[in-house]
Amino acid sequence: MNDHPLRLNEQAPTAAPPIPAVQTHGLSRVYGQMTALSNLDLTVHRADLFGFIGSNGAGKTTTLRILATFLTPSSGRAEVLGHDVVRDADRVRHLIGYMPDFFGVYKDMEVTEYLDFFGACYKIPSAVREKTVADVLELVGLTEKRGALIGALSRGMQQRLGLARVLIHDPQLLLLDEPASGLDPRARIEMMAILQELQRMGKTIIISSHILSELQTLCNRCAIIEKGRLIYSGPVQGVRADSQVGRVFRVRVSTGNERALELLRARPEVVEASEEDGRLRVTVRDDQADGGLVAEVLVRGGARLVELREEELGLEEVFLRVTKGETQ
Amino acid sequence: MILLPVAHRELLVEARKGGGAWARFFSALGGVAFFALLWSTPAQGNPRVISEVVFLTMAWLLMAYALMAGPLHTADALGREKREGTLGLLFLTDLTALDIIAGKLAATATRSVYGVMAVMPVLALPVMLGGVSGGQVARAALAILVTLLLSLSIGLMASVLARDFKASVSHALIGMALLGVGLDAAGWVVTVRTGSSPDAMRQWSPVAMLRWSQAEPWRSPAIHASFHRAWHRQAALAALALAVSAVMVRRHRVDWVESSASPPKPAASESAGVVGWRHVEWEVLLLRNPYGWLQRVTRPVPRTFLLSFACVTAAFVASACVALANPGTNLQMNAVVLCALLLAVLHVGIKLQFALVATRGINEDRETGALELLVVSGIGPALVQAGHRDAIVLQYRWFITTVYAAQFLMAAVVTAKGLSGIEGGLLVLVVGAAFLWVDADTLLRVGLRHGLKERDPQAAFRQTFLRVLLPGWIAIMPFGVALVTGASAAVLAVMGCAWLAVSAYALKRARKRARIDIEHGFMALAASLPFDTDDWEVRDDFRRAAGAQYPSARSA
Repeated sequence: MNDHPLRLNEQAPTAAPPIPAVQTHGLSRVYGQMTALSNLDLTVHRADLFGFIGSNGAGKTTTLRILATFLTPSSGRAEVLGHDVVRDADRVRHLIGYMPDFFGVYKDMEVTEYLDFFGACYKIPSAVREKTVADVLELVGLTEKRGALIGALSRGMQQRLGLARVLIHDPQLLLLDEPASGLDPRARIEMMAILQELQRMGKTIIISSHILSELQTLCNRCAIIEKGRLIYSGPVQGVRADSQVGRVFRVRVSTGNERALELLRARPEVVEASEEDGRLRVTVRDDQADGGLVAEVLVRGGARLVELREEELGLEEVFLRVTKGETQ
Repeated sequence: MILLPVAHRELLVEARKGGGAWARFFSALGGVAFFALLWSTPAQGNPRVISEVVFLTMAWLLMAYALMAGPLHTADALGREKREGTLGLLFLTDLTALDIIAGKLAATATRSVYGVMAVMPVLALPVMLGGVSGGQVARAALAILVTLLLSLSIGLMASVLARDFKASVSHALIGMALLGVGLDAAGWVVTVRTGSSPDAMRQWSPVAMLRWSQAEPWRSPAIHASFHRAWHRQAALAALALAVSAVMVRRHRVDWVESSASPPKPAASESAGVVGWRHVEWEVLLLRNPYGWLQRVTRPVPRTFLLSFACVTAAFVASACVALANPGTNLQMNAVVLCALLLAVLHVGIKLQFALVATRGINEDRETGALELLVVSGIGPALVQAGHRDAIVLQYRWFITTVYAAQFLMAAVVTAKGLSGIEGGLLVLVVGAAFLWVDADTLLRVGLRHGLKERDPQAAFRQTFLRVLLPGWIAIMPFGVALVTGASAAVLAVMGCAWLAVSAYALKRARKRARIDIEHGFMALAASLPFDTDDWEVRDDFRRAAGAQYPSARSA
């Protein structure tokens, strides 16, 4: 298996420095009166598994289509592995594998015929093609279905086949638009496992998805986009801190919650305080307060503090806090 | 240019269907049978006359097939890929627009060329009998082949320009009708009115080209030169159509990266409700009263068809008025011939439209997910068929009424003083009206059958056309030839009765097959509905409902 093109750059994640796989500078796209993308500055490093998050109509698909050379930007520029997506479109197409959110398949072909067809379209020599098809089928777990008609495959398997098609010419960058949409839980988990394996092999993956809990565990970096504008871009772990959404504490007191809420709400550093399941949920500003302040306020006010712990904010909650739910 | 992958893919899929060998076999068998039939006709006697009649009849049949090849084979070649979202993916590869167009053309041309080539040896048989020269056969073959190329190219261009199947087939049909019949007929009208022959206009018409191909260079050098110019113009027109297709397919590639099933707006997917992401018209009615939904949901009539129908009808009425106003003159005869031609165009046009809407209607129901709801609703295949028929008849009632009115007018024209008696008019009225009714009804049933059987609407339309209309048109040819060559009344009566009997049997059989296949098709659907919904719980609910409606489908 070592001579398989997909395996060649297995060492890449440890060896390569963080050279940008994708860079956009002031990227904008306007459809008539509507601005789908506005001055997007985005950097994705090599071997990143990069989550692209936003509501419907936020501009995710437009960005991915520009990177896939299907759309030209109205202004600004985008580079994929150092190549301009407009000027070097042919070169870029060789470097990327793009999977749209709703893509069609030739239902009247067999699985191997389908992949062989796309291999031929990428000018892969016929001597190499057979082995490449077998390897990508093994990678996506479709070896047993190699002779099946595509029309007879389930949605999850067709999605895997779409991923196999994307991999057939061994691209360095994968652009996956909602790859897990419409999949049942098992197929979704399997798809995520395949993506992690691809990242381990050194592929750079940009994945747009609405299932933020999965992106949180899957991706090392992410970007949040709303109404065509970038709200956050960076490590998944740093999204809470960088987004200034505040810190959340869970508090239990034995002297009455109402009095404790009064004390907390009187402080300007406290953004929000509420009661949930008999406990208090307190949100304080990032730069002005920490758990010590919460404890001090309660103890000085005469409350008996039983429990105080910081709650780790999930990507979903951060997303809801930093976006306003606006679409184009 | 990477021609092979696309052509290889198309041929691979075609090979799996296994119809190619039968197409060649039946084309050749039809040619031989036709030849044998004419040879056995006793009245002609002179082999030279027989060979000429056989040759011309077969050449014109092949020309008719060549003109129809585009609408039948290529008019949805790219349209289907556009609708299913596979075309855009090809643009991510090393393929260029020209590769895709040329690959599609190569693959679709193979099947059509097979059919034509199978008949070519039979076309050459008359040379051995005398009466037809080798040059005439060669020029006719060239004319037919270039017309085939032109028709396939026009079909491809229509499939690039239109996403909808009905629209692209209508565009291709109208384009070929204009080129094939329209230009020649217009040239004929100009000749009748002014006395001069507008060859420059006719040189764009394949029909005129085939007619000129019969002129020997040593006997009519001017006509022979016109044939050459016409041949070059048809080839240039085909190349232009291919070039336009390549440019257009490239320009709109971003529109085709996703399937038509993808939600255009968030609001649409939210309102789709029980069928997930698919948008179904009048969904509430479909859920509550499926039969009512079937009757009420009418698809828009393609504007190109509407416009063409109006133009042909107006031309027919004008010609009929001229014929009625000038009894006993040459002008009347010319106008009557034009009337007959235009009436035939109206008949063929409405029948092809019926075949299109019947095949596409059920195909669209499958694409939108409405078919799944119909299957589980329990209204049954017979009512689904009746509902579709009612909807189409309702949608096209004014067109049908217009054709019947035209049939009355035609009967009035032929009974006018100096042409024929009342019995001639009655014959025109009864035969025309009866054929329209029987053909249209059969087309609806057979169209629904093939629409249900075939996922590919082009294949469904082709099957419907080949099984209902084409056999009737071919079967009447020997009768027409016998009539032209002066066969006795007894021979004509026998041939006419045989044709009617064969047609009636074929139609009866087609109807029976349609009923059985639609019933079986529904059971098969219930057993293996894909239910391409995002929601896998909804999908399982559908499967259970389908199993309850069609218990026998579990074992299908």
